[in-house]
Amino acid sequence: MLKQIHMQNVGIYAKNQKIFDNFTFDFTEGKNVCLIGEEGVGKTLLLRAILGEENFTGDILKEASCRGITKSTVKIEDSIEHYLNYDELSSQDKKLVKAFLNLKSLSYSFSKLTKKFQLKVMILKQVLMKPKFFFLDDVLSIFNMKERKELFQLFENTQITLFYVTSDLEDAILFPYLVIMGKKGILMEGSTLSVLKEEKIMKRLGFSLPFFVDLSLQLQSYGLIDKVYLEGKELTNHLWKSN
Amino acid sequence: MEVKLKDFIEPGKILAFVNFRGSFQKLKNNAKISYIVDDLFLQNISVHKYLEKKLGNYSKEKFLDACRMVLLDAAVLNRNVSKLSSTEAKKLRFVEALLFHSETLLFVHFEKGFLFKSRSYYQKLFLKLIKYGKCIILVTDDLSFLMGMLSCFYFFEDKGYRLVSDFYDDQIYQVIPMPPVIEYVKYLEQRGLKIEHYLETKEVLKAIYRSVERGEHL
Repeated sequence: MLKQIHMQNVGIYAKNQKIFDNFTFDFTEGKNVCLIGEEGVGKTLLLRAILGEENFTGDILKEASCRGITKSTVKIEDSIEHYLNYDELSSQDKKLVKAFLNLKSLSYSFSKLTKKFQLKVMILKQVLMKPKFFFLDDVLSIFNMKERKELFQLFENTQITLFYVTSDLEDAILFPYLVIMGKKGILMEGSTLSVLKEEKIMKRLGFSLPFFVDLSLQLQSYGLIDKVYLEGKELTNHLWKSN
Repeated sequence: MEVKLKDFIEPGKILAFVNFRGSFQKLKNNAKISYIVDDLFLQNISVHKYLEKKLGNYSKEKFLDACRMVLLDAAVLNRNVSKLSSTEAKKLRFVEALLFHSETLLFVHFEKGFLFKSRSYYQKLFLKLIKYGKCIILVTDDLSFLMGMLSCFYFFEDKGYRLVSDFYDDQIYQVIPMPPVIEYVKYLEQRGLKIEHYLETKEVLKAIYRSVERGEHL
């Protein structure tokens, strides 16, 4: 049976002021989810509540282990090797570390790494704890497409389901399921493409559509294509196929 | 790399520093510069106390006006600074800068976390503020945010910086993300199509329409 995280009427308040409430959602193993929402709606606070770092009302029932990275800063003076407890890892995990980080030396000091690389190492450390669910807060934009694919491959190889919070819809197209969060719970949810096709609603909420979705919808209105594409290669082949 | 801000500051101008990883040389205390950055999460005090600490006695009316201008809900006054969201914290720093009457406002990755509607609003706001003689400096890696406002930007590398006026400059994208519209136009060029270096989706759309109608081939 698939593991889940049940969130029932979750709410967060700050000094009696409501940040959000009535958030109900089941996050299921094997289905990566992207959560977007307006600024200040409480996306990061929701993540922190799930990870046990924030007080909340309602219920969060976790059927399996969760790890994640929210926006708190980390000050680490160790070497990568020490930070990851490399010597104590299994040989399989050591292979994973070497493949993912692709480093000449694990003795590099963590604090001397670029921000991007620090993040990769932090993610890897959490992944090595073998959670079933992983929560990430708006960090993908720091990686290029190749690096994002490597990251997703890491989660797939380790059978971890990802819940990703962002305000950038370009990130959302990497996920099969999209949830839009409001102050009173979920505003919209569904397969990413079905949600993104609701152009009028998305624009009213203040979002701009991802580039290829926007372009596809406009090309559809010109009668040049008959469906929405999430990436360029297929779109291009379709547009110029009959020429 | 340490940058001398006074070499760049110019009243009534917007500048952008892209791929900036250095620091700013400390200026004299009377240099009216405000840094708008999300760095308040370690401050465990109320917003009101925070503003008092930074500004002394401040006008409640002017605070409300500034909140309206930067789209900050004034109800944050009673909240703990460390509990503000990233965008709220940046807006609060923006309010602080306006109440302080800073002449130069330096925004560090300000646009991150804001939705399209807000980003468009802030672009217009920056263009309005420079009309009042402010200097706005944007530190960002998001060229999509700059495209609506600026025709050029300073690009920083290990050996220094240069002024870039071509958003299609390949070299810069070795280190920063490429806006999707530029990525797609470059992809079409690789596939053998001649498309102008547009920066707006609607121009690319028109170019695609013309190409398909003309019966062009890949």
